[in-house]
Amino acid sequence: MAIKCIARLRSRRVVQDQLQTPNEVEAEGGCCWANLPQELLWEVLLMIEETESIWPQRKNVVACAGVCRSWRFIIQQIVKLPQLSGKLTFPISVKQPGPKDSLLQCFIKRNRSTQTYYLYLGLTNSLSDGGKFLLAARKCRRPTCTDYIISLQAEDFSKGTNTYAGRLRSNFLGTKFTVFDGQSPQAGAKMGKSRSSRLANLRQVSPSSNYPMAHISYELNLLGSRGPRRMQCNMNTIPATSIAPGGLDPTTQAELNPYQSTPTSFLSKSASMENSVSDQKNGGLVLINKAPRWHEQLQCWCLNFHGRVTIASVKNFQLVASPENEPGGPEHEKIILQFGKVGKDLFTMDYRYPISAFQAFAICLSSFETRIACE
Amino acid sequence: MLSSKNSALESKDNEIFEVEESIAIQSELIKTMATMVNSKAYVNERNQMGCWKQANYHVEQNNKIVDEELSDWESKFFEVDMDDLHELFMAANYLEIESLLNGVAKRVADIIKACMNVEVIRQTFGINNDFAAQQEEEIRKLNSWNHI
Repeated sequence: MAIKCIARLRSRRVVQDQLQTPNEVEAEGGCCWANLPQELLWEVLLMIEETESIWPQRKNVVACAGVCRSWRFIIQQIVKLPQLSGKLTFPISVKQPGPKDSLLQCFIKRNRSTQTYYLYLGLTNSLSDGGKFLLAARKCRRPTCTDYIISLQAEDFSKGTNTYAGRLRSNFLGTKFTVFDGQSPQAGAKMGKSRSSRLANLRQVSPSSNYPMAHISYELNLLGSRGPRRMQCNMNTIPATSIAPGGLDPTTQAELNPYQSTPTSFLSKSASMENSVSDQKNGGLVLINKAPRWHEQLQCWCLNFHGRVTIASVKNFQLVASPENEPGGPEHEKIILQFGKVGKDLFTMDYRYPISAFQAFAICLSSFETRIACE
Repeated sequence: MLSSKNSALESKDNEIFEVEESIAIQSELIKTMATMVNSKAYVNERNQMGCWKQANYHVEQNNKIVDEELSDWESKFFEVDMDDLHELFMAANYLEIESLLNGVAKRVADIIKACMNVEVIRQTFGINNDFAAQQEEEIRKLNSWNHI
């Protein structure tokens, strides 16, 4: 093939031409990365998201979302929900449901002297890796109850900040608990006008107007304190159908914003601690602990933790969805949350869809706190 | 296997490049333009040279599927300053040379990953922070979660 040519050497100065091409426009003022065509920026950011899939490298994805609005917009489109990708990316990931296909392995470290608990995402199969910090909780004893303040910061438990995630409140006896989801000012620029004026008011909202998202109760079983305790968790914000194939999803995709600490839930009405019984009828998911079996030879109660729990403790548990009055299906066999001791102050916590890391952490904290069946 | 046919391509500053046909058609644009008469590729001289060098390398590699990492040759090739890299990116996009686009995108991704934090990314790419002050403060606070 031949393309017609006219030979004439010239210096490299730009020739003004009526037919301006993309390159000519660029050459005028020097290069400008801020004006990079969206499709090219997309390719670059997609590459970063795909290759930086585990922590600590994943922080590069979050860094890109903090550069400017256009970068953030693209990152938000690219990053998939944890339930699809199995990856935690933004702070809000701790409040989004876990992966559908497998348990996400985490661990909890306890500091007895400061009454603080730290939740980490496991980075390897070994329990000795540093892990990626997710949440911290500090115990605050009050005259009539006990609170665990949960935060996105390891050492900051103040309630007025946007790192406050919520809290777990126990009743006086330590038999009933409520998980409150903290509300915080939203950083999203893409909210509409009417929403943003509503959101502006949220800044004046005090922590006591936290939203009660779950109720946990502990009871003795028929054997009294000699047997394993019975746990029940009523998850107000998770539809009971979420565990079935094709069931309702707990979060609405359209409402998500990486810098918001509370995803919009499917149920907006609040419930007091005593209303937990009616939650099932309202469509909320109920989780119960799997009953251990008595091992005659070992003379102890046993659950199969698949190697993730190595020290016997009354605090260890596995939660499954309660079939309530219907016959149980395969979806009621799946372990949704598993918690157990592996060291003096070290515990594993494995969770999956439809609960989030925040909810799982709060449920585990209640296991530390309750005195039921502890000898 | 290599064609003896050469294409003569004129750059926008009227430099003429003779490029072998098999290499020239790495550019989807040139491939299309070949059917048109009197068409010209509007890319400046220096970057067009660069584009054809890379396209040549790619053809020499027998159009192998690109790997995850840049090859040694490509790494050296892309060690240019940010201005040149940007022009290379735009040229590759305009000429529609997929292998080059891929290579530049990888290089840019590597530069971003090497930046320690958001500020360094902004400085390297000359990007302005266009978040509202309050948003910026909230993002900064929550971003500290990244580094714990």
